[in-house]
Amino acid sequence: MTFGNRIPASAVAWTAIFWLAGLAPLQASDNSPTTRNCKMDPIKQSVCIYQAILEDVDKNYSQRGGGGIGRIVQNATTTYSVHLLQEGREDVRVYEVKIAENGKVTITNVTEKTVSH
Amino acid sequence: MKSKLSFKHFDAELNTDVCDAYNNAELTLTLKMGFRQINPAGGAAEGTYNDYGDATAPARKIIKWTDASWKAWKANFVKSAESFWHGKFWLINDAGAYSFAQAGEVYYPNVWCRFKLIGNDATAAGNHHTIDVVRLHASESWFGSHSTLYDSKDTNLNQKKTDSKGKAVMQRAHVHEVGHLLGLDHVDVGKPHCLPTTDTNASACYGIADVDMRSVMGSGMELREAFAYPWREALRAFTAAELLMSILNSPPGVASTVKALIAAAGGGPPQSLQIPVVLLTSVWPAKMKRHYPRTADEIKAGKMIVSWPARRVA
Repeated sequence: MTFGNRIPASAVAWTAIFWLAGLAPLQASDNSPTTRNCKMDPIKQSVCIYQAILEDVDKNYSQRGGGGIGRIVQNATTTYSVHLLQEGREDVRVYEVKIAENGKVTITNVTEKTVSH
Repeated sequence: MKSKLSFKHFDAELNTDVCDAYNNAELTLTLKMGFRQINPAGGAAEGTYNDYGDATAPARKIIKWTDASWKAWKANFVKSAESFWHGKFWLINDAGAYSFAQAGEVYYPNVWCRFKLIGNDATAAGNHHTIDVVRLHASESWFGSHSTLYDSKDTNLNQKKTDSKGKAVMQRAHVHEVGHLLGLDHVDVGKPHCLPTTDTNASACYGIADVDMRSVMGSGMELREAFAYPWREALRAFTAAELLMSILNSPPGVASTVKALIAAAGGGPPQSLQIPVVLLTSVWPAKMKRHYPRTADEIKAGKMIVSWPARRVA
């Protein structure tokens, strides 16, 4: 018998703390900057940034049909593009983020453009 | 009289033979679409095809068309798109054109906008547009189609947007695409957030206000009077052609005709309704309710006849 898939209770607790710490400050990008505490190792920090971007897409992108998110690309250290698939076009939301030394990530700018097909 | 004109995107026929005290002239736009199957590579039963036909875009599972599925899909496409656009608009005769007499009364018909969609295979001659079509696997719910690449589920009703009240805005993509094939732009083209000089495929062009996003040239299924544009422009072409023919056939020369036209342009007696120059300046406003033919007095009074009128019959 293996217990390889069991998750220790302490890990669950830490995950919950990280999740709560990151989720709480999120706000709509149209109104004020979205911030998220992402002081972690590089992988976790990337995940945290992507989660902040995804949260913003979910909150502020109203075209709920289509093929969903086709891809998210990191264009530069602090710039990401989210490609949302629609009939005949891709809506591309370009995110600029600021990563503070303490790990706090802020979405500083969101622009949208269209790639026609 | 039946007149025909061919345009780049469709053919048009204006029929005034059907006019009587109750029935308007008919303007039929005929769109011939040539459909071409996209099948899995190598004759396989299943395969993949990329969104937008772009190898860098996500691949979707597709299956091979059968004769029965191809025939059924085309028939459904044609029937549903044709019925959506057919017979929904009336162009109001503000030009006094196409007059006819019945039982001693002169009438001016409006123009009923009809639509005929012919679904051919792509190999047929004379198609106005050629469209590739993939048949999606049952497990796929969406495919990135575009103006010349459709998928078998484009005829289904799908959510496109959410309006300001959180309500889903639904659309059958193919009726929107047929609108484009007829020459219609997205609903908000021309507004400050969607200038014609920009990419008119941007999401804002599909409508910002709920009323616009719910329209068929937005993200919904509702018609607007503005979408009578293809019929109106076709009708203006017919009237311009009629004016030209009138000048060419006018004895003893052009001068007398031009004089008459100038007189008409300056406004004149009721007979000026008969002079074709008015046709050049007419707007033919669109309505989405049946409007019956009018008499000259009714036109002058600005009266619209929208319910069954009492008319003298022979």
